[in-house]
Amino acid sequence: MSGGTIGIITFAILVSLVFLRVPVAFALAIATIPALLIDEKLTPCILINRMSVQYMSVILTAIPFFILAARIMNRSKITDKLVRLSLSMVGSLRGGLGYVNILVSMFFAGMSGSSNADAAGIGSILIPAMLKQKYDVNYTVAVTACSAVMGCIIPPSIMAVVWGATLNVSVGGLFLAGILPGILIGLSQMLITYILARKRNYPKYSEKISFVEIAISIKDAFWALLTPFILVGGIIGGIVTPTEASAIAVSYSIIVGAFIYRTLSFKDIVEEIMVTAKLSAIILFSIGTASIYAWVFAYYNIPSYLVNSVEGITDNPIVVLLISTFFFLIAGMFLDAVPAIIIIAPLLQPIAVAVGIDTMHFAIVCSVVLGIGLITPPYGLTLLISSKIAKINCMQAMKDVGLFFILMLVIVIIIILFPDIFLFLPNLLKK
Amino acid sequence: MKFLAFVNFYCRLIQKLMTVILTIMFVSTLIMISGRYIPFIPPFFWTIEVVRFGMIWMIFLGAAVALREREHFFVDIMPVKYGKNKNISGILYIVYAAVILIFSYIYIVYGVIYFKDWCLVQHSEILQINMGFIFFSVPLCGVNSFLFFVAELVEKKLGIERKEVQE
Repeated sequence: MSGGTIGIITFAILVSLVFLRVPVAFALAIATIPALLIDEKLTPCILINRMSVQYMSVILTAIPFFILAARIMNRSKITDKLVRLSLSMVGSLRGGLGYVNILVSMFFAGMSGSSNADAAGIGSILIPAMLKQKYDVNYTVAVTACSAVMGCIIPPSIMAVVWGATLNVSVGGLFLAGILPGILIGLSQMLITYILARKRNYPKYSEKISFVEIAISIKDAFWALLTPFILVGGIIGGIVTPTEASAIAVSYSIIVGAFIYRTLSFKDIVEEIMVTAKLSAIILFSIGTASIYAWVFAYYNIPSYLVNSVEGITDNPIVVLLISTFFFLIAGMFLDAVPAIIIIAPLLQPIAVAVGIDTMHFAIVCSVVLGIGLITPPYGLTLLISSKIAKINCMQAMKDVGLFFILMLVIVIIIILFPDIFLFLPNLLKK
Repeated sequence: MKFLAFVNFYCRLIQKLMTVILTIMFVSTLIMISGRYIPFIPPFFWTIEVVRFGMIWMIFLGAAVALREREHFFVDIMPVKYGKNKNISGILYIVYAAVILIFSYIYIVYGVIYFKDWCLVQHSEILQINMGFIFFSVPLCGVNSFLFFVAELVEKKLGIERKEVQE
């Protein structure tokens, strides 16, 4: 049987199992079994072996630590201080709470690597507050879900860790590469808020800016605001690896929560460690089963089939990036970003390299597209989390989410067309 | 029922164990960093292996626990009216059960082969631990998955509902 046929069968099994609501991690593992049995040289032991090889890469430990850091920050009510700070800065604008939502997400994104923690933490505070001020529920859910996307784009980012571990790209470089697109997304969302707030006459939160209040809340949130500088600075300066930075983020959040703000008890920490261990085991397990899937594809030479067939159609980098964007958008609708990266990125990256796209450029484009995947139903996690908090069906918010979606696609196209601007920061690390 | 009480106790025990493992991984990483930057602490090389092996145990223990609590990511693209149909949800459950049974079978049978033929004969580079200690977690994951699945069937029979959670 040719590699192409095996690739199609494996993929068909995966898609049908996922459709039948089998958990994705298990569908990935089971789908590769026929391919491992057909070839006499292979055995299902390879399934286990590939998983263990994947787990030997220490960079993956950054995942539990970044999740733990984000959870501890939420638990120790650091989010409240960020909300207060943002309120003092943008609360007096029309649609104040909308801006606050975006601004807090940006702050939080710089401290945590997970969009889910962002949506859950910020949503549980701001969604009720916004509804109470008579914002319409669609916009409220949309802005919470879409601003949380920055969590996995602005460094630190769990997605960048997974990308780096899977495709051998520098995680530090990926972190830097996320800064500019992240800020652009934030600004574009503020633009939408500006337009909608005028059109729909959203309320202001406070009448005028008080510089005293800004000063007080900056002082209050100072230790939390220091986190991004410690993390990103430590990694860029070559002082710590991303894994070590994630462990430092945990210790720092414990110190700030337990000793400076005194809002965190020992019992809280133990509980959060327990939940984190389980959550990260789930993510890491699906990374393992996805890696065997990618390995089977590589064994049957499927990436080179793809490279050949795409080279027959086009050698234009922009077209290839657009095709990749399309594939990741579709994948993002049905998969979590982590398995999507491990399954699809190793197939597409060889094509990108073959037509001369810089691997870092490819990574930035795809990361932002995967970020968009967080707000596209049926499986958009931040959208699901936010609509759950607001107690609505996620499809109801789609009209407003659509606006954010279009603007994010525009940003993706800007990144595709002007790589030099976005590669400037990560290239600094190379020198 | 004694069996269910045992499974629940066992499940909680595993979660406590995972908490301990993650804490050890965290402390080891901190020791690794301090070894490099604090003059009187020597650089310890064992820390990296402790972190690695801890992670492997945490993942394989956690994968089975998450199965019990139905926390693994799944995708719900089936239209609601089909999802509520009893026949269809019955078929979905049979598919789910088949996948879990195949999974447990592979992890137990090939996990034991992997453990015996690939791991018992190797030692880790730094700590010189027999790799069998680390990859015993693989067949155990299979056994746990099977055990938790049986517990779920018993609960279904007794009419105890478990909620499907998705975070």
